Amino acid sequence: MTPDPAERAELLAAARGRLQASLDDLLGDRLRASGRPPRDRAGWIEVRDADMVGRCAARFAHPAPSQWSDLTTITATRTLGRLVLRDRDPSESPDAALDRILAGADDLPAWLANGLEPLDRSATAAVRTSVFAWVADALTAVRGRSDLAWDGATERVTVPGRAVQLVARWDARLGSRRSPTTLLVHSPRVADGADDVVAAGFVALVACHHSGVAPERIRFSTAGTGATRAVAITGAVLSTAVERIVELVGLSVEPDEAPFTAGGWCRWCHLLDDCEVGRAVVAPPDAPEST
Amino acid sequence: MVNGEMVVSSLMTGRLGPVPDPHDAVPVGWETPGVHGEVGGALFDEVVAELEVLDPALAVSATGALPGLRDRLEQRASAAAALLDGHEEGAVLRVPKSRLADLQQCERLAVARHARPDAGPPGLAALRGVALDRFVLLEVAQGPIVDPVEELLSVLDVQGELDTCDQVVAAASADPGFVDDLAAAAAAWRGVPRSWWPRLQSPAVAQLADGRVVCSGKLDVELGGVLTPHPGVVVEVKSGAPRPAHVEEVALYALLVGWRDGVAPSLVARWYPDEPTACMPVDTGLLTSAAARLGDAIEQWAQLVVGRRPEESPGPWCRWCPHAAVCPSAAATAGPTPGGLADPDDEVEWEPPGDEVGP
Repeated sequence: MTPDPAERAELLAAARGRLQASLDDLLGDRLRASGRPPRDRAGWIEVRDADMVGRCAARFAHPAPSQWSDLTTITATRTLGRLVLRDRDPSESPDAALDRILAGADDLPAWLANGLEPLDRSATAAVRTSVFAWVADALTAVRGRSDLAWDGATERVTVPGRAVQLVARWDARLGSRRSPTTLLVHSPRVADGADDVVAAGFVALVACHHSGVAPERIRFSTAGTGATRAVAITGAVLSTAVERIVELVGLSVEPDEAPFTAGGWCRWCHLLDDCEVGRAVVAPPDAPEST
Repeated sequence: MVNGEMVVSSLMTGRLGPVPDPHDAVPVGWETPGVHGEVGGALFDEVVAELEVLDPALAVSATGALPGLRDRLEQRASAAAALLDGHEEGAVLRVPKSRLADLQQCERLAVARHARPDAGPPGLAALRGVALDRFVLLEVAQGPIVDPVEELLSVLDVQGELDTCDQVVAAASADPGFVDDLAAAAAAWRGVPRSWWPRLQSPAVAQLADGRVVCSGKLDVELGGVLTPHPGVVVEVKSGAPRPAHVEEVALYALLVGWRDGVAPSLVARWYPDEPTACMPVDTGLLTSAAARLGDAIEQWAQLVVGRRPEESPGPWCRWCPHAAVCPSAAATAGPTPGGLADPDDEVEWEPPGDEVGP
């Protein structure tokens, strides 16, 4: 990957152009939209970073209805963990930093402040514990690097003129906010090399949409591994992500064409009641032969 | 160097800045007087006492053994992953702690629980195991527990464990004090100094064979370690009776933490309510045997995934095996469970999200 920001900007612009053209070819007059999606996303297609490695097309094509739920440790941990790492004084323990952040809840994003507000002492302790474990794990993964800026975010990008929104999360960066050279994604997902490539292309495409400059690399860390792995961002990597996005949007507009694929995800799938292959995986098996 | 990475302890310590002496540090929590147990800190005192008499050379040599053990396990994992070729493209062979434990008990149990991961030991005992983990969390993170059931429900609710909340409500309506003894026992966790960075439910994962084999565990409690100036300690919280398998569990954790951090923990411990903490120093032998067991389990699971018939090994676990009604070996073991209650801590283990194959 070239370190030249101008070349990286060209790379990103080319990928965005390919995405736009491919979606135009695919959709024609379908999914025309302007502005931002409604709060319930009705009529819109949302493609998330997690979808890059999904193995069941039907699960994507028939998404679960979006539901508002109370704040949980699952929804709060990553954002609070990033805030701790972003705002912590080097001489301060993460625990103390978290105390300070929770005490100044006015500075938190509204959804987070509103979610934390009604929690009692015990529930807050559970959140604190979860955040602290995330922070420790993230620090272990990056092996103590102190030059990372933990000001990551959930980025949402709307494809111009289309009811298609792309959503990617990242956690930390190297380089300037305007033109980061590396973005770090710390997640619980275990992925292999091929998954990394398409996910890296997607994060680069979405997270750097506003700056217009592709990062040199995306670095992933899987929770608990204490390690990171990097994918250099090239035109080919971005193309892989573009192809995947187009594939997913295609599945969404022709959902009946999407095949069901069984796997470990079936147990929690909202389609399970109507999915024969999933039920075969999840249902108690007939007694297998045994020795 | 460990696994090509520089051992990071000093680097981490420098980055974090000065840390007070653990005995001077402010304990976590303490704002509210509790009704369960007035004197805390027993566990931490026991751990510190063990560390004080520990030969530091043990952990150093154990750390030195980690790369070689990893290399050997990589070879076994790669061979196991190769068995899957043509079975399910791109899928991952997962051997979390719970599966390893199942495989060591009975292959058929492991296969059955893979299909029904929610199947586990009898309800109330498992529920008490869940409760004890949360009480330890509360004692470490907030201080004394005042109302065990209400505080347990608060924690489970914010953790999204709504089904478990319903089970707690049902159990408490039958016996309002059904976890009071556990809440009282958890007072032993008070007073862990902040400088030891007590972490609860932290993950430790080994990705082998280019990510095609994943071994994972979620640690009940970690103290010290590479993020702190203190030796690493892993504590497994157990609500049931001590069992030999628990020793193997903490040995596996030592191995996974060693690979994750690049440094072996100094001590692994099992904590049972109202019993002395069972501490074990981490040495090369402990890690070597854990790696050997893990390698065996990976090979077993790969063979089962590609169609080998599971062997039946009847035992107490038959009582909660999803195949108990149809398995001839389980029928042969009907009657009182040998050795007393099922293991209530044998709950479904966390696994990192992702793809998975199974028989």
